[in-house]
Amino acid sequence: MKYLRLVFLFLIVGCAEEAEETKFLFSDVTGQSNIDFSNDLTFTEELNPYTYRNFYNGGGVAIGDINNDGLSDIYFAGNQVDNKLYLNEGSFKFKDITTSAGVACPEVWSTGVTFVDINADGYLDIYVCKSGDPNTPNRSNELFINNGDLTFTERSKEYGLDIKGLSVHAAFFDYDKDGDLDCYILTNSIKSVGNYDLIENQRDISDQQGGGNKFLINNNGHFEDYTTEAGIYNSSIGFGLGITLGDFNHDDWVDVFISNDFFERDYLYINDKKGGFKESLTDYFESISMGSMGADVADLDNDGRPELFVTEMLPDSLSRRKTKAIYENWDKYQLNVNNGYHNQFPRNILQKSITDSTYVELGRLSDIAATEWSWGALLFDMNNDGLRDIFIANGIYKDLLDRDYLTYQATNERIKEMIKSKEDVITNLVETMPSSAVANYAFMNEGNFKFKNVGDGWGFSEPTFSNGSAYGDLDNDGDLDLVLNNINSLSKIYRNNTDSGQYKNISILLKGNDNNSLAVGTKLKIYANGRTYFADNFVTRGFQSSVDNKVVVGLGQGIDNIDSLIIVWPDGEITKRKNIGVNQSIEISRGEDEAKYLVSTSNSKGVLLEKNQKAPTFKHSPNGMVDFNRNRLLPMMYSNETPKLLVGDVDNNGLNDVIIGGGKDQYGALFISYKEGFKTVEIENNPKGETTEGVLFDADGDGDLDLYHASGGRFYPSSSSVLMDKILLNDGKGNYSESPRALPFKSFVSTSTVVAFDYDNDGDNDLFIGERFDPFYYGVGGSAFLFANDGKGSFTDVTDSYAPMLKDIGMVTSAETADINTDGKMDLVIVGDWMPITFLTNTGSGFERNDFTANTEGWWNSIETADLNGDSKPDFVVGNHGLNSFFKPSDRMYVNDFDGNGSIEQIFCTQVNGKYYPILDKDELISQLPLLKKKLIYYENYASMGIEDLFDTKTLSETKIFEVKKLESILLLSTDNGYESINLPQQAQFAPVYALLIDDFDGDGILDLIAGGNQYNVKPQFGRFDASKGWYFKGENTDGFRFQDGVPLNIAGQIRDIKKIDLGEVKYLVISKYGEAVEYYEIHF
Amino acid sequence: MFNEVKSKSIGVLLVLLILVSACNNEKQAIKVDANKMHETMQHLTDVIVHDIFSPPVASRIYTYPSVGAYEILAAKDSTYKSLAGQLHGLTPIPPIPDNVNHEIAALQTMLLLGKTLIFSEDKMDEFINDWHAELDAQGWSGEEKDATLAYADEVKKHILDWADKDNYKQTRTFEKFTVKEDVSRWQPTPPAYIEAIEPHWSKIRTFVIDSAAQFTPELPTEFSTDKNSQFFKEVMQVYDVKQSLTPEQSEIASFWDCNPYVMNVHGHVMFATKKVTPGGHWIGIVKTACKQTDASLMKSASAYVLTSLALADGFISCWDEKYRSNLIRPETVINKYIDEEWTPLLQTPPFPEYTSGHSVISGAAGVALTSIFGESFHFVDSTEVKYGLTAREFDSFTAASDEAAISRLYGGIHYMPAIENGVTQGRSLGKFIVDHITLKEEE
Repeated sequence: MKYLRLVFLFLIVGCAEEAEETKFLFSDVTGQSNIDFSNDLTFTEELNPYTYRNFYNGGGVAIGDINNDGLSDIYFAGNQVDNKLYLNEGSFKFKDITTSAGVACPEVWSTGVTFVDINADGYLDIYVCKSGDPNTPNRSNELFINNGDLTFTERSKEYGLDIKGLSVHAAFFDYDKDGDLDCYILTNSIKSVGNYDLIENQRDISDQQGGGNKFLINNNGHFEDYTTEAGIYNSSIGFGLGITLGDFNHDDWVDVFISNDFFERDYLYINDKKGGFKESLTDYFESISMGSMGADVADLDNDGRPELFVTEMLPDSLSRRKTKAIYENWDKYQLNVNNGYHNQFPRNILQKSITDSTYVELGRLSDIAATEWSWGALLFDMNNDGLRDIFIANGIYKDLLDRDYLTYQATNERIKEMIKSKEDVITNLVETMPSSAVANYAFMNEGNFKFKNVGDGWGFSEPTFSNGSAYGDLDNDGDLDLVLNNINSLSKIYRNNTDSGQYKNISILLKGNDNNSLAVGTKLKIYANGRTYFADNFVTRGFQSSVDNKVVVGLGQGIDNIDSLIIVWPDGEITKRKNIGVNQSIEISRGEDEAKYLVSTSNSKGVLLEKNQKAPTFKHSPNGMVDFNRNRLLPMMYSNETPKLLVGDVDNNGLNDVIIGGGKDQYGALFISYKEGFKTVEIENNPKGETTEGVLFDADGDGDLDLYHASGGRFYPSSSSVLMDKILLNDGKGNYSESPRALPFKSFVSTSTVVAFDYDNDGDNDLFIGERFDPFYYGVGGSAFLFANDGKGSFTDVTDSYAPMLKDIGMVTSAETADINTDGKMDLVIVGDWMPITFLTNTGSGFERNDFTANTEGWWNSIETADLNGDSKPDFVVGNHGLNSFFKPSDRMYVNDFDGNGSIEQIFCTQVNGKYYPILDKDELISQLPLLKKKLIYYENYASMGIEDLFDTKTLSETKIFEVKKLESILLLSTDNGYESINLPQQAQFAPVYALLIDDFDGDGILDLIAGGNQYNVKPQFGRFDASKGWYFKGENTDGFRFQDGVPLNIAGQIRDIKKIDLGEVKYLVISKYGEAVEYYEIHF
Repeated sequence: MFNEVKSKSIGVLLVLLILVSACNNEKQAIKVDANKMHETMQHLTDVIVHDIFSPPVASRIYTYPSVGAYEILAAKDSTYKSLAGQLHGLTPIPPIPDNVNHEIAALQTMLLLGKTLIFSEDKMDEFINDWHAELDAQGWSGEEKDATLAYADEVKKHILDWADKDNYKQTRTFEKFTVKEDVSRWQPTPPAYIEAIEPHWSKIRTFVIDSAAQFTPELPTEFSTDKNSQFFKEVMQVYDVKQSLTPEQSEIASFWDCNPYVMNVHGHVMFATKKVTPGGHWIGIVKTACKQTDASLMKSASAYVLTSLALADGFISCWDEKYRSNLIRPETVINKYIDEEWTPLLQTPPFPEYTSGHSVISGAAGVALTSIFGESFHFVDSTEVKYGLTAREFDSFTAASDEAAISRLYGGIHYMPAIENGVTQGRSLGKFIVDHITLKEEE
């Protein structure tokens, strides 16, 4: 039917007005719907955003069938206007029955709304949350019991739900599997923000005014406060804006996520199955959003594990970020973390579940991190292609964070002026605040956590101020329509025009047991044609809103039959159905085909690592350095790239030992391996400096492993002798002493990498040494050196004669030697920051650059080599920055002494429409370059100025410009005439890769890869890179060599090196992390 | 404001008429009323407030224009002495050509230097253009006008060359202040947690004093959380004062707040409140004193220059100590050990506690002004009326500086030693300046 209608419309394109309507996936049908609800707000001297900070938070929407006529109805919550209930009369025609139904809640500030059948009589009741001025009448939340005849009776008191507070939203669910619905009531505390942000343990103290969040248990129809008993925080720093229900740890019990605005971190309540919750957010999530608003949880990749998406307020475009966002500085961020407020960042957050209790944050990778002032997200399949998409309702009526307004407009001075001239000071002040409506966002899920911004194409281009949003199938055509509650404009009803002939669906209405008539909390699994789909029927979603309880699942193209449907009821019983037709609505009641559901255990594939308790203990000492104190304009630090591990049998006992580099003011350590265990020995050298790298090699030709000890880092200046590298000679038993022959350095170098290899085929080990940078000035310095060995451990610098291109080659991070052209002479491959992957071929009389890898300027951190594809030529795996960040290929760094004061500045820029703009905050830039302030008095000036507008041509012509062209970590496979670059699987792109280890871990004869990384020291506006948990990539070499998708190793932290040692039967993975203890894991497959 | 300007120009006109009638054909030079200099300094203050300069930086902005104007006027007044050779690094300005109107040149130089040192140049241009229009109406034109403007430009360059060597530019990129884990050391304070400002201000070239460390105060009280310790008593004093603050004490605190940038946070709604800096407040007092005594343009220039030198060196000296002792602010200590919800009456400014900047610079400025206007000097200080506060009366500059100092205790942002030792530090420094700078040949 639908299909035919669409075709028909298609045919009349060009001659009919209606064609306009079907151009988009969603059509605005508000005009024809008779819905005239508009959440109009008028600020007064008494009530305005200054006196009531949630003034522009708006109202919610609820969708549900209140009269069981098969058509879902709509309820809107209003702030200063009455709430409204619209009865669905079919074909997108609605009738306002508010007055006769008695559900208007006049003269009180309504916020969130929830549809729930609280008395299990089969009719939806309405629960409305209230906030606003505490002295207005009818302030308690209201429960409208459905009389079954389109009228309602308010009975909150009777149920114990007449809560009077600053309620935002309520959720009803059976948390203890006793068959009835319990209740969580979310509060946004009135406590002032700004002065008490850093006090520890505030969340443990109950709000004395009783204003905190509430958890109530259902005791035979009466709700009783069980907040403290259940382990729910109810302090006065709970600035709740969202309740999100889901099974976060995959144990089939309902968990609760609470979004908190402002400085308080979010909460994740894991159900302890014993009648309480354990708040566990910091165990589950690394990075979270700062001003968290609404959220939603649903499976975005059909792997049966839910993803969590939390919205924040970060503007989308660079120019709006420069004018309408405020970022915390590094010191404040550190104080937040130290005082228990976790890693909070100003952006949307997408937590992807990778194991039962581990999540990685992918918002930046998915490009959905910045969607303006976003109130809430809904994760639902908007186009029924089988993957849930993301809809985001956004907009703040007044730009509260407009930087120019904050700095220059809302000043006391101006207020005084206003007082002199006019009466309505605050109203005038608010009036002068800029107001800019923005379009809502829709992101199409393209699979693999790639999302495409399709707002315009799907019909959401109209700028509005939208708060609450909810979905439901309003016309029973198998796709989900959308309803929005807007400030100062008509609410919106969007009809979904999905072609159900092409994109199939199934709608399921669930009927539960006695006290939970809608079976809230049921999980559904659908298997069709090899695809799997997961859903649940929680209705509290997004922001202050409640979606339709009828579950609509998009199945995608080519699905004509559902093989099986498994329903897991809230009490754990299951119902199975087989062979169900698509594009239909079915009703399933509890009590059919029950069987006990078995909770599935963790996936079995992958590596099992077991931490070895008897392993050596050594904690790397961090240097405590804050790069931003010295180079304020850098977005991230480069002073935490150690410690590295070296493996070799230093005492000649037949077992490989491990050496770890010491941190600042710390000796390195040697872990000698014995059959029975390990013995730790200090390596006494360079106690002040940081050991950045080393190599075990025979320097003096006596057959044992000597040690090249490299010093570097950013702490000491280039004039410091602490940076001097040394050679330590082995006495054959693993005792090291400094070689009397100094290395031929002409100046001190912050060393990053060392390679021992015989470049001249004279039978001894020569050295390649890479310089990281000038320690004090990132972007300056960066050379490499070639030292020839006389066979007895005395070295000569032959760089100028044999490898002159090594001078100023770049900020080297790592290098490998291999015989690339199989001519018997060892070649070099060098990588670094902003450097291309540089292949240097050894001709026998010198090194020559090879252009195998043009346009590979990257932020390379690591390189490893092995013959992966079995063609007897070396292949390479190269670790880069990855894709889960705000940085993009084509980003640049401009380095110069811009203000001519003898100190170097680094200005990171990004390209927008062919022009390069600094990515920094104006205040930051000016703190370093005050001369710019004259050009940049207003933030608005800054937003429009590119680097070329800031500096004259002469200055720019003297500026060193770096550009990054590739950010993915890659595999370089040898081909007949060079190298083929293949991006590593997606998991390797989740975070910067600092450590690589190639080995045949599973013993199938094909090499595999383990990679790790992360970088935490990043300014808050860019956010730390923490989505690596250590990954195992199995190699396969059937149709050309490839790595399979990554399997998480669940190793958190900033991994800096990974090595493997075999000690007879037992194989160990040794892992070093910056500032943490070294870890030994036994490897089991 | 508008009326005031109008009546003033009438005044100038009358003077002109009398002079013209006195000596027939000879073209008489246009005189510049001292009020124009006061307006100029006031305007500079307004732009400093708009552009948000921190107190130390603001003191630098007042000083160079004052020196420029003073040097030109003093060159033409035999009773006054040039500061060249008296201030570190200052060399004599170029000689004044005969056809230059040195009074206009002095003010023009003052404005041009001010314009270079602030950010909102358009706001200075507006002022300059209005003034030039006034002058044009008085027949300012031709060769004299050109020569005057050219000369002012020359002196501006001379002063800027000198200013460029004061290390200001270099200190912009010096290392940012590192927050230490040490419990006794300074930490960023609520609500904006702004990083510590100007940690390297002591490396700015001093104007008169030998070095930033010349007036190092005695050590602050040793940090302790022991309830019976001296330090804890001093903390409790700050805490208790707020609990029992009288209306007058609270008025005094606000009167001398002088925080150029207060961030008010109400949830997502925020706004900045801006006020004159402590130095700016004293520049306002100079104006009041000059007007009250009908000081000439020359005398006014000398008052501005001496006061601004005291302020500038005062900030350098104070900031030297602040980042030496790095002492934690009362707000941080009280929140951590006594009352986690306590807030000071004034917002804590973003730099270490010891010594109190306002105490040091007020002490220094008080000595400077006393040296010019005398010990007993009754005045009504209406500097803060613009910012919604009432005027306050004082019988001497010393009394005003005492009140400025103690206001920091009432405001809850300083312990007593920072105030007492700060005043001592400032007065010794002020005395040194007054003793070492000769503005007038022996009177």
